[in-house]
Amino acid sequence: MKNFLIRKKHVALGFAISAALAFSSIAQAQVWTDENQWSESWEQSYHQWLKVNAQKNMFLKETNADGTLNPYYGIRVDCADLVYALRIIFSFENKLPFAIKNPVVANGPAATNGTERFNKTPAGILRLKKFLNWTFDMASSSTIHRDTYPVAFKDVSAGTIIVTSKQNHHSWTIAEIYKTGNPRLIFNSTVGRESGFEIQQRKSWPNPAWVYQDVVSESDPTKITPAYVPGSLTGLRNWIPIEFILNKTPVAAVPGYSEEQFLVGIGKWKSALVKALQKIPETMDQTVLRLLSDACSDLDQRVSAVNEAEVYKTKLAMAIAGTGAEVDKGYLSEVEQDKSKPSDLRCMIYKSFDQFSTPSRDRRLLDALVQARVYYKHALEKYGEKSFSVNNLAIYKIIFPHISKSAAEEAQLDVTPKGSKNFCSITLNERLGRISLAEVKRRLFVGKLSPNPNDSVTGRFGYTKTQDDLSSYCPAYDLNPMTVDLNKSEDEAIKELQSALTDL
Amino acid sequence: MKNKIAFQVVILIAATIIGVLIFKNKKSVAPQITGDDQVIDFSDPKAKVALEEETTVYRAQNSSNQKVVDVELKKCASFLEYGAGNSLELAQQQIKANIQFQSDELEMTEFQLRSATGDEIIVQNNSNEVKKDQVRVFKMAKDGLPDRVKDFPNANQSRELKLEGALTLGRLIKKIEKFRAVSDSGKEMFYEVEEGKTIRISLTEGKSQLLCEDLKCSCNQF
Repeated sequence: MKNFLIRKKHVALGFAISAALAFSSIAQAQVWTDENQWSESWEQSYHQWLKVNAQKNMFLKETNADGTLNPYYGIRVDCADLVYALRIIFSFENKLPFAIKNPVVANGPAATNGTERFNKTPAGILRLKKFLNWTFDMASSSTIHRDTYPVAFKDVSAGTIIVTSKQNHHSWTIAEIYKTGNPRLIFNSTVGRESGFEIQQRKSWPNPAWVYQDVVSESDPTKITPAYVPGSLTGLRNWIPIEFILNKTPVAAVPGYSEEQFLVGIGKWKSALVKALQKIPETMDQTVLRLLSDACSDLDQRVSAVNEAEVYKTKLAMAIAGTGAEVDKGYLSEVEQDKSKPSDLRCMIYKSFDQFSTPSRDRRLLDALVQARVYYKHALEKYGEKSFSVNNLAIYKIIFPHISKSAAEEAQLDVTPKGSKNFCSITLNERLGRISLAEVKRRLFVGKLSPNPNDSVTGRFGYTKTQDDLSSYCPAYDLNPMTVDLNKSEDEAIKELQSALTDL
Repeated sequence: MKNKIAFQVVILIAATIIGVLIFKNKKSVAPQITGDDQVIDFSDPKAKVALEEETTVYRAQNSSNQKVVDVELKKCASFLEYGAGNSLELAQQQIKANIQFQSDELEMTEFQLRSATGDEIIVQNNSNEVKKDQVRVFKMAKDGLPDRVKDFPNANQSRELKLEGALTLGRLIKKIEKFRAVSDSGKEMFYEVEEGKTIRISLTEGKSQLLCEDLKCSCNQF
């Protein structure tokens, strides 16, 4: 009897091993196995997952709060990569299917988690990372529109993606929407991808004029393609349900397709969106502080981007001098291989120049500051100082010292503010020390900030230029000089405010 | 006794492994290209010396589960007077004469190449694109999906040089210009031009899609 039992156990063990091996073989047939199917309930779970997991440090932290290893540590993403990564990781964690349209062949098969091309990589997180990188290589900001469809304002939620026109090449994912109707957007940039694993966030809607900016043809600057039209590939978009991806259904036939966002008018876009999503109103004080906090994040990211350029230049200089580390020789060989390299090796080659220049970033910073100023001025004129907390009012007075005047007039009168370091003060480097948002605003408003990476930190942040600032000497490729038209920016912000006041 | 049990376990495991291997081999009868295998060194000049062979083109695989209803052309474009054998330029002229398009933009020029080793290479020269995506190169795998090729001559240089380098990866088979036009009312037309001839038109409005290729037009409703 005992022998029989032992034999029975062994047979069971044998079956178990057989089953495990057979299962692992089947499991190897795809990146992960689908055990669930997308539904409204899973979409809601995705929204909740984003709220909790889509954080700045999601690829930066080595361990989770519970001490377990973060399997996603070290994933590098740019803006479009992040859009895809979030949806893929959630699908992977919950055994849901994932598919995007073939990014190269219009009528080709969809790229799905069912692909067998990574079979040689162990199943699980390693295979997932291969799949992510494959997707990142295929997809870009210009392919997002194929996998998403434009939605009505009421259907905007966590998980909705915002894509700019081809003029600006950017995208964000909404990680959550606050009761005030404002979003927490999660995103990254090409520079951010190179700099490290941290991603970025902001808590305001982007400037719709920037999102839907007309596209000026590269080959013929007189040819302009409008992006704020029905059928546009830009704006607020949700993921196309997987069955419609696989069926190759035209985007316009996807249930929920809406052109509402293209019809309200750019000036009313933000207020209409907030109105549709808002559950409680935001006070003027909260609005101004939120916009300034966004500007502070923008400044922080700009400091990182500028310092990253300096690291590049230092390593290149050391490689040229032959004093650099072995691993840094690639900097020089990249320059040497560039047929169109500048005659002076202190100047950046095209690729580096493109990577480290900051025209779009600087524009966003300007937008946030001008908007904050317009809201502050309006509330002050209409409701007086009582509409702000004492502490916040002190901050606003330092950043906008001549609020009764226009932004352009203030720019002419503004001097380095005293006590400005109390709000958003960021260290540039050891030599220059800290710079405040108030001081950056002062310099930005008079056009002193340089988006040109051939300038040093000094020049890029508007200090007196030195011999290390080479923007006027080196080729500027396709970078247009930063033009700060404060009157235009202010007019746009005023229109947006008026629209918000009318609609809400 | 213990030895006997151990022997039985070893036999069982061995049998299982053999079984699984047989199962795996059966599955892999069809040739597969996996992402792990996709290392092509295009910088190796020898890679381009081999004779070109006629190989299967993997790209034109239609989905078998497309749920569309083929209806008469007039339901997609009431104005269309188009018969089998007419040129697609005729269809395009009629569309443009009846729909006011706001823009008519060249989105991409696609070069289809055949590499020396018989691989299908797609080079995309994208208009108005960020630098890293201006010129994109893909090798098409047998599953109809692309693998990005990042290492090719001039890969880190300006658009012109990059394109020049990418086009050395194989013999040019086709050059197709891909355009997109959008009307005031949201009608969207994609069309492709090869050597001055329109070879494909897709006109979409809502749930209707007019599709013209191979000198035939059809109207699909979703």
